[in-house]
Amino acid sequence: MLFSSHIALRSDSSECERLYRFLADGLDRLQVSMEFRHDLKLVAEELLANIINHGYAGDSGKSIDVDLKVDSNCVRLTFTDSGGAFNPLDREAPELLNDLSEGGMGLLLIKSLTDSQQYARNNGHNVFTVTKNYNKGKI
Amino acid sequence: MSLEIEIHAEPNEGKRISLAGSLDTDTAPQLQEKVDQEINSTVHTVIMDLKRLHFLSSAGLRVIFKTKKQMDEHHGKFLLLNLQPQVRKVFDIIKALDGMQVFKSQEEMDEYLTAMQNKVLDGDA
Repeated sequence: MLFSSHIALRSDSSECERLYRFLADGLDRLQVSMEFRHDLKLVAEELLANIINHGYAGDSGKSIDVDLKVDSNCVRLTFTDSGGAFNPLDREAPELLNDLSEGGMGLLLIKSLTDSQQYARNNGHNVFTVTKNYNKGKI
Repeated sequence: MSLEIEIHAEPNEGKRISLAGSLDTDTAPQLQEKVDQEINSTVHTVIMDLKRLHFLSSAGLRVIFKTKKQMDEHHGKFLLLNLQPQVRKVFDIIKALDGMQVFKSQEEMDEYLTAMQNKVLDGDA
């Protein structure tokens, strides 16, 4: 592994700014494209929103752990929360064109912009990990 | 990055909503509140100008779709203008531009609005 970093967030949407800064600080150490940075930021935002709205059902007093791990060809982002068991990957694909206002768009974005997604329930925690590959020739 | 929202009157009972910054789960409620205040059935056209919007997530998309739906319900027009590449990418993934009227520039939109206005004057619409 090249490096890793961690941040603890509250389950509140106002934590977006801290999440973005945490990611930017980590990715500053890699020579990745602006598009890669944007995609990962969007994925992170969707993961945070998902936990706030579903895992914790709007309770803003809980904590969310975010781990960024970078190796020579991929970035791994893990979100851990202690909310009720909730596997976003179990959700059915949204009827996109028929019901765009409902949930499901976030998951579609997460799946489209990452190379793998994995959910686990560990010791009463939801652990959701995504990976995104980058061109290791650039580092 | 926060969200800046400017709303200006346009000719023919129109409103232009110009967004700058980040429309995400944190800032989307601000836009929804403005839309609730400013957009009602007396507004014939909503132009959402995204020229300075640099980040859009699904929470922001929901507000945009809700606004379009609101306009559709009273047969108003909803136009999207100046989508930046990273914002357009989000719409493309969701396949959300089907049924939307999207313009790359002010000129392109002006041509469309003028043509629509002429249709009305000619009694075709």
